[in-house]
Amino acid sequence: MELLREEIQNEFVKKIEELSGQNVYACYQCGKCSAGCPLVGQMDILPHTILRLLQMGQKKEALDSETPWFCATCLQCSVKCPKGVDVAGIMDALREFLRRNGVEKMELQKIADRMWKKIPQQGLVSGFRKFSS
Amino acid sequence: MKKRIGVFLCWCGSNIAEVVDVDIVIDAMKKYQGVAHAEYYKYFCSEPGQEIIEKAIKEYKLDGVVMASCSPAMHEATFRKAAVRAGLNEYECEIANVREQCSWVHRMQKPEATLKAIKLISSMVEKLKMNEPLIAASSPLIKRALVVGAGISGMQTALDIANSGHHVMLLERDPAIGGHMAQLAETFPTLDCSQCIMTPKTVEVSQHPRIKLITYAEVESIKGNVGNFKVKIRLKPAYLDRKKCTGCGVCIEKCPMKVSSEFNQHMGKRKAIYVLSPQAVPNKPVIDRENCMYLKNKKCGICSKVCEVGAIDYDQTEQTIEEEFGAVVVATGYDLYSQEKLGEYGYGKYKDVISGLDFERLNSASGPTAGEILRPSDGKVPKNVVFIKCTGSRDPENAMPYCSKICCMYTAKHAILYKRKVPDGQAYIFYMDIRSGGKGYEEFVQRGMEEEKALYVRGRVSKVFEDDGKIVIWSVDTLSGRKIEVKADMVVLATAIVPRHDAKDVGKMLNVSTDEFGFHKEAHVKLRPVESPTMGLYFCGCGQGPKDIPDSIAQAGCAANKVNNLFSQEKLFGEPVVACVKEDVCTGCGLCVAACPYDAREIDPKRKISVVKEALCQGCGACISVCPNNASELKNMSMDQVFRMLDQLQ
Amino acid sequence: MQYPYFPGCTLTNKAKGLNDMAKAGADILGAPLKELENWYCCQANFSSVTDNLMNHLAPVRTLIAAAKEGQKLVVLCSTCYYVLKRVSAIMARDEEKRKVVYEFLEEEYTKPVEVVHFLEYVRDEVGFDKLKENVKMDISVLAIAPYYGCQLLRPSKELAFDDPFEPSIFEEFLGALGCESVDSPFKTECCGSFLTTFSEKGVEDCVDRVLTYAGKNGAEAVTTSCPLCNFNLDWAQKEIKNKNEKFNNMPVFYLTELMALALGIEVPVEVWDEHVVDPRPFLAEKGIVKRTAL
Repeated sequence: MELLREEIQNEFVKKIEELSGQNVYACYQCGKCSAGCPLVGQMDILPHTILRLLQMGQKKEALDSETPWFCATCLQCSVKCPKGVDVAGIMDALREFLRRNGVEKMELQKIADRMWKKIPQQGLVSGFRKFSS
Repeated sequence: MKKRIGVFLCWCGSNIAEVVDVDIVIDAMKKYQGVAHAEYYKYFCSEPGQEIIEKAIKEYKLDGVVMASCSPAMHEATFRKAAVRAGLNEYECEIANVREQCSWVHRMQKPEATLKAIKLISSMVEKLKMNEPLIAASSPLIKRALVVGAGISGMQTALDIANSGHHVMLLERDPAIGGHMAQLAETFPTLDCSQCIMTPKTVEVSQHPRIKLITYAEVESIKGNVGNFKVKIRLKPAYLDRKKCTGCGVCIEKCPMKVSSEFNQHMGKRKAIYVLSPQAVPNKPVIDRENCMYLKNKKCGICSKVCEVGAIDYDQTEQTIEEEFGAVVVATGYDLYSQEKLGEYGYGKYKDVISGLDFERLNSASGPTAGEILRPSDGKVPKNVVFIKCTGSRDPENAMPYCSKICCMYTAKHAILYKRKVPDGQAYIFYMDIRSGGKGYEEFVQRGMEEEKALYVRGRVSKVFEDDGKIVIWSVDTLSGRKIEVKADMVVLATAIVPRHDAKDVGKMLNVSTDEFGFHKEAHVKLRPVESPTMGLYFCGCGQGPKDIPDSIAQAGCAANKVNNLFSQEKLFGEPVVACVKEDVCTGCGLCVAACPYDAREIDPKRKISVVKEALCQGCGACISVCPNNASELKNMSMDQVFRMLDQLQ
Repeated sequence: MQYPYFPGCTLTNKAKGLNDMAKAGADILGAPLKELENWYCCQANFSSVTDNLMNHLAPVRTLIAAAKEGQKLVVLCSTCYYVLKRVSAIMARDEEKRKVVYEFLEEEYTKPVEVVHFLEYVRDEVGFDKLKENVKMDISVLAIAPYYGCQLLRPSKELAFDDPFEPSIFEEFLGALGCESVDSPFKTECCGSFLTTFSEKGVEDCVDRVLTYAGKNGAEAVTTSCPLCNFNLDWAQKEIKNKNEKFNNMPVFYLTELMALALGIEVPVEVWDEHVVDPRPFLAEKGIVKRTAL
């Protein structure tokens, strides 16, 4: 991969920092977020690597990853991060960025078929909030 | 009033001359009232530069010198010495700081900087006009040092001072000396046994004719200042006459009360009457008040019955002695960060999660397992041992922000020692970086990887839990991008080094300032690394910051050298810029006496006015700011001078 | 002392075991819960995005309504607790945001309200001792693993609910009910939360770990204080069992259902009917509920 000043300093990373209120450069890549993430089994890229991609300005790779969608905001990463980076907040910001650009991840029919009568309202509402644009 | 002042403007290479127009400044100063001579030079601090000053003083019969140069912290001493060589008093040389206070901060405003330089210099000329030559008062110097803490640093500094011919009192809080080094098994990078290399020092300390060793004692208070400290020392009752005791050990053997051993990191037992370790110096026991059945409820008394020399003395009480010293070296050492606070590692919850210091005791021939690596829960040999570095270190959010410096090396050592004792075992080391700066250190780490096959995994650990008698570790390998799980038999945490739990209080009591964590604060972090801002107080070892044995020894030598420097003088010459009293204005209200932190002010009972004990005064100015009618003044810093200076700065 | 309580969207129709049993228990304990009059949905999750205050409006409205009725607001559901407490923290510390919200709502958030979870309510307002005194039925035969999940504990500095790694309030509550709790290493880990609408596999992974380790440590059932945790832990078991025969199904109770049993409250059939893994055979086997009563 070629590192370019224009990419490293791009507006996208600034936007993610602004949305999340976090400094992605505070991350020193210890991997603790990935180490304790209960959903890492579903992710295509480890959470700390998402941070690394942002540090290097790799917008496309960060946005193409499925990882942010699998974050359940359980905050294990955020409370244990030695640098105080709210990793879950950054995942939320990536999701928000994608949603604002029209990305839709909610498959209503599937939910309806599966668990319509049982799923608590809060599950459905938060599903809409996190996965629907 | 001085009438022939010389002004010397230093270019400081280009530091000053590039911003300040030196020609304009010199022209202005030549015309200034009371200035007899002004010139500039590229580097006045150089030898030829100093010669120019000396020559000019003589040639133009100057009665005072203003150096327009860098900060007085940098070269005040240099220039004052030059002035003295040419026959002036050192207080007839003043510094106008036109580098830090002008050229460095006004790089983009050259014309204004030039104007400001003229004002700064003029202001100093005005002050100098009214300066008087000052001579420092002398005071007696007690050439005897106190060293607080007898770990490896304290012992070394005591030996270095004593071997230079001065008397030392070495004080230790524990019943025996040696500190944490006495707990260690082997030492990196040579793997020689810690006890073996330390014993010659403990023996030398205890037998040295100029070292008075006092164990089981603490400093209670300290008064006075450099050259003459009065220190109160609290001697804790050992409930045993240490002079009578022969150290035969029968009392220990017969004592029926077993308690958890601090020295063995609570992995073994000791008796209520105990010595720290088999090699303890002094090898005389103490009775632990909390656990002795006789002291608690007058039952038992076995130790007294079996002691053939009648050394046991249950009636002993705490005693306080007062001693005088000229200098104090603080070597109070370190504690480990309280690992219970690091919840994710399970320390305190799972028996087989231990600290690095615990692991040292497991490795030690005198430890609870006689040097065999057996895990605490069931005494089995662990075949998978996980070492976690940076637990509590480099963690600004949840623990300590700094690097504890020694953990990379001792963890490498632990892995090597473990593999030697358990050849079919596997060591896993979770790390973020490997910091192995030091002679032979990097080679040692590589040996652990190449020869002992310690597996270094780059990632922090996030979760530790128990499953089927194993300790499961959740981590990540950032190098391969994989999530990692290890089912370990034992986990060793390389825990952060922190100052002693009471370091801040002890620092306050000893007047040694401490930083936000409680480590000693240096007078200058690079140039005066073992000196406290308060004169006559020095420090060394881990109390100043995390460091390994070679660094501790080096720093101990450095602190000893500072003490020796101090003791090489016959008398102590104090600060000549001291407070003085305008006797006709002073009403003897006594506010200054209360304000003085150095006991340097008192009320003259006959004249009912305040006087200054010049030898004790440090010129801090506290008395001047509290004086309600301006009767207190600092020499060469009178109200008159200050107002004249301010006039020039408008 | 009576404080208003906040039911939230789920409690009155899909989590009666939490809602109705809490109210019945609180009545017995002499600390009845009165529904907050003018409440709004908590928004079901907290948005950490910094540039959109819309997400915080409904919780602020609820907090303003609560302030009119008292200094404290009792919450049963962990999610509601989490959202309301985090939003109240933002309102307390960020004057600028408070102003914007005020301008929009034309109603000022001035009086801070302390958001307390039902567990805290029972501990601090009733007292676990008093809870213990009111126990009528011996449920000590039940081996229950408390499940805290995420939203009571994290972010720990902001919520300050309990120790984030070794919490104990659930255990103390169960202890007062006369029931010893089973410790398990995943009691503070995620259940999969809202991923239930997105990734079945993700939720099953999480639930499998939580229940398997609780079972390994000797638990026969788990207890929660959140309808979504409860649903995930309960619902996902079917699929986990399909994929892994060895998996042991276990009932998932709301903490309030256990409280109701211990206090001798008649638990209505519709409460048990909410469960996916029917707890009645388990309770009957333990002699807690008579078979004939089912």
